[in-house]
Amino acid sequence: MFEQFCTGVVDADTMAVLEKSQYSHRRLAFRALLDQFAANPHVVGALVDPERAWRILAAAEERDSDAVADVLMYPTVGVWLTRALHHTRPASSSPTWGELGYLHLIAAAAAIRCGVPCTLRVPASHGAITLPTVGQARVPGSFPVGTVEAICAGPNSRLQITKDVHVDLATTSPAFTPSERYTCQSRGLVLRAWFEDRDPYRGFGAPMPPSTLADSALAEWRKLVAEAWDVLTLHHQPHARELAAGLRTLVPIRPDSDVVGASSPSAFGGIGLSANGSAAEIAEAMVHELQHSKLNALLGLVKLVQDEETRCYAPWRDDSRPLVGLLHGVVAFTSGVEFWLTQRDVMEEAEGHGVDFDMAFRRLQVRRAVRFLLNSGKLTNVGSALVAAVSRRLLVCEQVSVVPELAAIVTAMVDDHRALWRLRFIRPDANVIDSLADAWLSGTTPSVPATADNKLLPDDQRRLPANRRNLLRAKAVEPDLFASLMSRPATLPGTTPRADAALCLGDGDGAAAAYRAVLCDDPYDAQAWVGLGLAMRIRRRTAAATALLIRPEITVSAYRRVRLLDETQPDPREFADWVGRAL
Amino acid sequence: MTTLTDADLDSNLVDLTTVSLEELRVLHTPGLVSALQRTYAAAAFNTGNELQQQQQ
Repeated sequence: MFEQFCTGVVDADTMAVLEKSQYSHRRLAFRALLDQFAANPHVVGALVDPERAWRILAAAEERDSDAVADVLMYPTVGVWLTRALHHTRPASSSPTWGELGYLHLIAAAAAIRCGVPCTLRVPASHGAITLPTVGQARVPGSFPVGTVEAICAGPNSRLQITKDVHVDLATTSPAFTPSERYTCQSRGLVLRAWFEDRDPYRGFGAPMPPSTLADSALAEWRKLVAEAWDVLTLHHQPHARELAAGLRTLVPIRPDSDVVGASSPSAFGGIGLSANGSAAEIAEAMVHELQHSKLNALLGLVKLVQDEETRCYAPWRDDSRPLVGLLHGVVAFTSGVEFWLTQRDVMEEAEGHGVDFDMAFRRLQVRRAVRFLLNSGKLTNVGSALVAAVSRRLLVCEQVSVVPELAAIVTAMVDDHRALWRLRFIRPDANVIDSLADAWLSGTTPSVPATADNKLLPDDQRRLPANRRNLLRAKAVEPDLFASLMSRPATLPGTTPRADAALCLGDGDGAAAAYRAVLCDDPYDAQAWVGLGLAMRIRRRTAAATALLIRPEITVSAYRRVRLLDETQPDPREFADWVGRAL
Repeated sequence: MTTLTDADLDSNLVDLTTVSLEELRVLHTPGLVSALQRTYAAAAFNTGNELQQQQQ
């Protein structure tokens, strides 16, 4: 199984093993939750009856264990379960009936599917009652949370709203929408997954109100997913077969979101997909997100990292990530790079340019992360074997060359992001900074230790500035847009528009001078410091570029220290060059 | 190394797919008790809001 996992694609048998292990974890979590409820009855509230819900589930399982497994393995059930376990721990504040009552919805769904006769009160949230894998009923009113009776009687099941009003859970009932199995078929391969746009936990987090996506937006989404499946079955059959085996639900993401794909460690087989992109991009997002599910399942079986505390830099994220998060990115993005490598051979030449960019950009990001993981000393033997296997797959992708100009652009983008991240989150050892400042002021040779007692600052919600990277990307894949932007550099966003324009046009001297001018006024401008590093590289001033791109936090902190201690203002370029020669 | 051995696998793994829900509610084997403890420890950190997202 592990050998197959390392290749990037698993077959239906291996997927079944992963799924079974996840099901075992889910049953364990349900048992843990019931014990937690029993030990802390005050968090449960008067409306929830956990033991009765369990008995109904057990009775349903006796009749049809596959149907119960289908309900319990439903991805939104996993999200709810993880949340419930977290929020009902001792000393936690009690969740509402609307949240905990979902347990009754799970039990009712199983009872209806398995024909277990029973009556169970269930929560109505924002006028909707959602029974996982069964469907959703809308009831009059939009009160945040209410209660109705679910009368479970197989095909004659209904929701009793008041004494005189009920909703039949039948396809003929206008107030009831049965859960939908979304099915695509292409070249004999069938993708069958629950289509989920109603469940409160479909966003893989806190409960959400019912979907407000317009029918037209949903129609567009369905069309694009069908086209994506066609792309997968035509050119990526192993991945198509893997998706056919492992995908459980597809959740449409709102078209105004900048998220292309989403998944959750709590929701094996659940994927959120946006329709913002081409069919190929959506196909790649499906492949990518399923890798997360597979890796989450593997992590439930075997330990891959020895350190769950340390947070580190991930080239594709603006915040810091735990090692296991970095591992997730490495595994998922490598499959994406392989996808584009295959795809570029079958695309039109005009599209191919964008594909070359995506492939070159991602493979460089992943290579940097792979190198970090392999040198971290914090992987288990199995984790090291997995990353080494990914590294070998990446090596194959790296054999495909791109034009030197594109390679330079993606290198600049990856270095830009990394240096901005270090300036935001790394606080260097104060002794190193003092020593460097003293050396500069006394005219002695500086010394910078290879390792120092750096401090990683906590995450904040701010994104790293992306203005320059967006410009570089436009240069690579949207030449008309880039030309238009370059025709009016003063209107570019950010604190260094003219310098960024000069840099993107390859004018290293002009860019360096412009960044220097900004820094003389504001030595705290991170964009300008990193831009200066990129400009110095164009000018082949290697030492200065190294100081500003590899260890920017040291260079910039020491520069600011010198300015505090001395009235003279060193030239940032000369100072960076001086530090760089000591690295 | 591309083959998992038993030693690599979490030695405390328990397979609960073959235990009925009725039985699972009252099961108290040492393996299950350990697994429950690990679940509670993980629940302190796993909020249910963890997301993997791919942005444009």
